[in-house]
Amino acid sequence: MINKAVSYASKFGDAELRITKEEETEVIFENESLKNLNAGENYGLSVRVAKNKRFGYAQTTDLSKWRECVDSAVKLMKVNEPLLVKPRLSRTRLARGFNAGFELKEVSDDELINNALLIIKGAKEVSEKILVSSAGISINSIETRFINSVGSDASYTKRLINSEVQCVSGRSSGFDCRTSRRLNIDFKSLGDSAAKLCIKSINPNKVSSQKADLTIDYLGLIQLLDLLSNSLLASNVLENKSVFKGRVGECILSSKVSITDDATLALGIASQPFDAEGTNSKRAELITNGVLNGFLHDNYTAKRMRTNSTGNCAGLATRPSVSYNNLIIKEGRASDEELLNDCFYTHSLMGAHMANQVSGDFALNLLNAFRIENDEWIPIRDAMVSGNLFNLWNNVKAVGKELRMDSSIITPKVKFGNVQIVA
Amino acid sequence: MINFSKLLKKYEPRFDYADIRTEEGVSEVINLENKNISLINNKDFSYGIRVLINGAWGLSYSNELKNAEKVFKKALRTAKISSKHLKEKVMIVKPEPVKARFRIKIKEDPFTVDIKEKINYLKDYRKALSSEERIKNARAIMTSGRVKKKFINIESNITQEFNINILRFSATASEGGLIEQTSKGYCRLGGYEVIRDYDHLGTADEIKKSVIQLLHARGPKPGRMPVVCDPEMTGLFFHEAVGHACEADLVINKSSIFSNLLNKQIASNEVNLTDDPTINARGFYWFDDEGIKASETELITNGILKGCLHSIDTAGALRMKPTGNGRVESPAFRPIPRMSNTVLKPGKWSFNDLLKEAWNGIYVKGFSGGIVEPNSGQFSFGARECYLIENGELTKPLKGVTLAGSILEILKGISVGNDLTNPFTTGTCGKGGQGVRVGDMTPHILLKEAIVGGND
Repeated sequence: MINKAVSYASKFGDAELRITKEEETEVIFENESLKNLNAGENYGLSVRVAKNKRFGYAQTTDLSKWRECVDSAVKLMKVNEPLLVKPRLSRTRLARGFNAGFELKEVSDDELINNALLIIKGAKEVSEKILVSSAGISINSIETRFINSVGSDASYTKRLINSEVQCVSGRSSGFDCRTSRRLNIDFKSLGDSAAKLCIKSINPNKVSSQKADLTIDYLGLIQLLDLLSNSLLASNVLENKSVFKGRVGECILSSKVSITDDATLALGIASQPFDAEGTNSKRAELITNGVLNGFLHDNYTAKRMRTNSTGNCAGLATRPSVSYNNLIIKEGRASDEELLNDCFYTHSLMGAHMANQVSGDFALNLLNAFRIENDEWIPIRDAMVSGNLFNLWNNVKAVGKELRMDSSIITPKVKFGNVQIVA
Repeated sequence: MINFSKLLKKYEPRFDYADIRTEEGVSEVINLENKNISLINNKDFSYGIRVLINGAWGLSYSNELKNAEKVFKKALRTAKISSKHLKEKVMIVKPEPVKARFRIKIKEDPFTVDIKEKINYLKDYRKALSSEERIKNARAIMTSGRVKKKFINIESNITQEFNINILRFSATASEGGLIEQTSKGYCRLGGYEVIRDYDHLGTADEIKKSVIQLLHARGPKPGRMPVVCDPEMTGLFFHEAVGHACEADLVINKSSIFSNLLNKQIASNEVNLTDDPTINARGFYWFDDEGIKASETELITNGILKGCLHSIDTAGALRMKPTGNGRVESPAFRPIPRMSNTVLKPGKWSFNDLLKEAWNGIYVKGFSGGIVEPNSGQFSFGARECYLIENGELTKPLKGVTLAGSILEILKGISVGNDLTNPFTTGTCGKGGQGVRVGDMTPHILLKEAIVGGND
């Protein structure tokens, strides 16, 4: 079908097609009782056609209607206005050797349920006061095939396992999660971790507003890095929405911070052999010791900025469409003893989606937060951290030495200096 | 074409209860950003089959109709596997049998309007901003969508068709190294006439003024203070801070701060709150996704917690009536209790009296987002626009304001305005990985004391 579709679409101009099949199995426990076992599949076809700097896009979940889908994209292309440049189509190399992660037959539904029970067991062993309000595991398998009118035709399969748990005890709660491309998650330790956090957070105290050092753990940092990534996208640079515009070669963040994007990372959560428009994956050094090296590109932004795509096209629907793959903060040298000493600590943050993505101003609730004094962890409540994202990343006191990868952002803990705590 | 009713009959001896949801959607998105225009056409179809066997749910879904038998068998298999691992059996309240079709009345089909006319509508917005040199980015998105949803069980067959129009506008301005952004959205059910009726050039003026004002505004002085909220922020506040804690699944799982507070005074006696899917706002529907008729549900009356929002299985677990709030993002998901339109009844205070009562504090207009942790009751809301209140009068603009606090503390100190507005916002509520459209109808309110954060 896809060969016929690309051949038909090519009659109207440059054509790019992407076909996906996703399979998911998910088990959900609520209140320590099995609530649901879901299993399903979804198919999708995306078509992008372009001629004379104009492009149109259509997608459907009904693969039998591929001709109608191509016609929709062509119809939109004809009425669209021309872009500033016409990007080249990618010549995708075959994705040999890409590791799918694991085989679906390696995990039965019963095993999935038993693993979810292990999460609950791990939590309950911490304290009889713990109630596991929710625990879930999902397995996702995604098959992608990309084909375009200059002869690219490549495909890959990728599998992921996600697990998460929420524990409560009175008004205290603790959440944790694990994601992996391999079947190597220690489910019992996941339950243990969330339950310990919940117990440790019982009877929180109010604190006064003050400036202090704050160590942010993985679940909080992934929100701050996701926010920061907006300013590293060439699409936002071109549309005047990045404070880093015109600052390549300048020191923009603390010299302790180095950031790369790497879709080639072995078994990375967002690793892929090629991006949505078929550009083979690469590693991009974005920031080295605080100095900005460049931005993330798709074919369109690369052409406009006279450089090469970094393989960061996130979808065919809009032009440009740029996003990070695996965003990695380089590990530092600080041990947990240095990071978790005489400071505030927060396990997570709440409300990063409300921050100003352009100016970087933010005020976020601390979630499962503590004041650490002389090795004593005092839980706190009703506290926020506020300030400016770019100032925050300029005031890094220490970067941890242990990386964590439970999403497409990979980072150690980071300690920030002189942060405004609002309470 | 698969006849799902026949499929249900075929497998009836093998389940205790089953329902099927199908969703067929078509949408056209025009995305204009400065000189770039993206035109997108989406066509989706999916279905989900849910079965209950021996007190255990099984769910399977697909968008390939030819796989329907296989999908049904998979749902049966997953329910059987689940039933071996049950600690508590699922109890449900079955929906009343209904056979009905509903469709939003439209005057002008958005899909027959010339696309060039739509592009020009968005270009007019861009043009209205172009006179201001400091505006470096103008963005406008128009989405025209039509969704046909079907709910089928052995006795019921309900079809609902919704036409949804969404406009989103934003602008970014910069000057002397400062950079700021603001945005506004609008959503109404209906035909293209709701787009024609909308004053997009008025919105352009509002956004232009707001983003330039932000360039020179200061952040708030962080701390605790009185906050007057406009209807849009009030809607978000009650949705996040109260509505989620009223969802019965969270109450049952002891994950709601309201878990043991039914019939107790939880808010000031000025607070009268309901959930109402029957009003003309973004969260409108005739029947929920489990075939239960939509109706207004009393949540708080004179400050006393009166009820919660149910799906058919939370109603069964608590031996109560379903409220018509079992909703799904798509047939691939299981129905869970969700809000629809959050309605706060008007009180006695005029807007000026609320400012006088606050005396020294802030006034927040519109929101950039919100989130709540229902178990601890901590919430956080971002304001789109904000002004200082000094001696009962609005004075300087502020930027980057976020409100936070604890639900139970803040609810006791609320004064309710005497106005009532439907802001036609574009709200999508996320819970359990599912996003559903929600709306609100609310007056201004005064929070006697909230934590205010921002970049001072």
